[in-house]
Amino acid sequence: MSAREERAGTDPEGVLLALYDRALPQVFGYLLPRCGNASLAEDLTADTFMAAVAAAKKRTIPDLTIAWLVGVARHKLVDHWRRREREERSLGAVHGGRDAVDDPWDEHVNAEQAYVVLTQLPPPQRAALALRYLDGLPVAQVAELLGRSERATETLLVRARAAFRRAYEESEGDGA
Amino acid sequence: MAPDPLDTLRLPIVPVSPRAAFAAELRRRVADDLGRSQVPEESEAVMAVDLNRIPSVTPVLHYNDPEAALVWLGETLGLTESWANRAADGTLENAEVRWRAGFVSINLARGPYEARHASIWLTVPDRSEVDALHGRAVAAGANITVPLGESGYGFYTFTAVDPEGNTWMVGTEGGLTELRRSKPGPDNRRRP
Repeated sequence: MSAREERAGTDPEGVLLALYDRALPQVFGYLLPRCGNASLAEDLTADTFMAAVAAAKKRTIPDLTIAWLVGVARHKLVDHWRRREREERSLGAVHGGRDAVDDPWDEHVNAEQAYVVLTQLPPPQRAALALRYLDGLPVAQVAELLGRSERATETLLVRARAAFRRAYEESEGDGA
Repeated sequence: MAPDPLDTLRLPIVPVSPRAAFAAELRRRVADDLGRSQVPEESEAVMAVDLNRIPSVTPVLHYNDPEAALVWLGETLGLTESWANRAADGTLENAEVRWRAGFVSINLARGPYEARHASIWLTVPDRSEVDALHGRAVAAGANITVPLGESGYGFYTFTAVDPEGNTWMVGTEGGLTELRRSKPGPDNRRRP
């Protein structure tokens, strides 16, 4: 067992504090492009580290690494999107819900433009696309994070891709 | 099956440092909540302190209130107490504080040992650590007399003055080791 692993077993608090300086830019770097604004990214970064502190004190961290902290950050991000979704639903927000046909789409997608378009989609669609494509997670893991069945997640992804495509093509029209 | 055009959106993590003030404040929250208030050791090698060896040079400072000095040094700059000598009534007479691989002696001023102003330089290996310590000092309400920035000698540094007027300078080594390795002689004087 390495010295770090030994310490993590007996002193997760110390390991967390020692990791802080290196882990902070990674956690913030993960969150910033997915949040679209620094203020929200800071809030979720703080939530992430305070959740890590709580887990360190309770000794519930199996493997205290930067990757684990990014996983916590991902959960905090999904929680945020779920809160936004609930808020928007209670405000009666309605998003165009045409049933989508998943046409093959040949186009090359410009990443910078795509990230902007993503922030304009409603929270559940933004969440599904971010987890599936930005993070590259398999559908099963996306479903687990969103608290939905795999089937419901597949459906959500189909609608999300269609909505993204419409919004993306519209944004190109404006620019051209 | 047609390739998915959205696969090109894969976004690996690119580290981004947040605002220094945010980083320092969160660090304080984390440390406080964990019940730790000191800057931790980074690695065994860097922090290798041989407690059996007396360092070649140790600054010796005298304070009218060494207890308050210890608190300030710990909170503001993260120096940790490695040894203390208290009188029977609990008065702190002498203490040793540790900073990375070095020590500073903190003592009660009395008789011929007057509290005199000293300047101490604390070296850190990189700028992000200077930023973090600066954030910590600002958060602790320290008197920052030289703001964070690059000095004329190429050190990235800031200066804080303690409650009894001693000057604590924190900075990177600014190419000093290179200068020492070059040929000694009158042509090698640093130009201010």
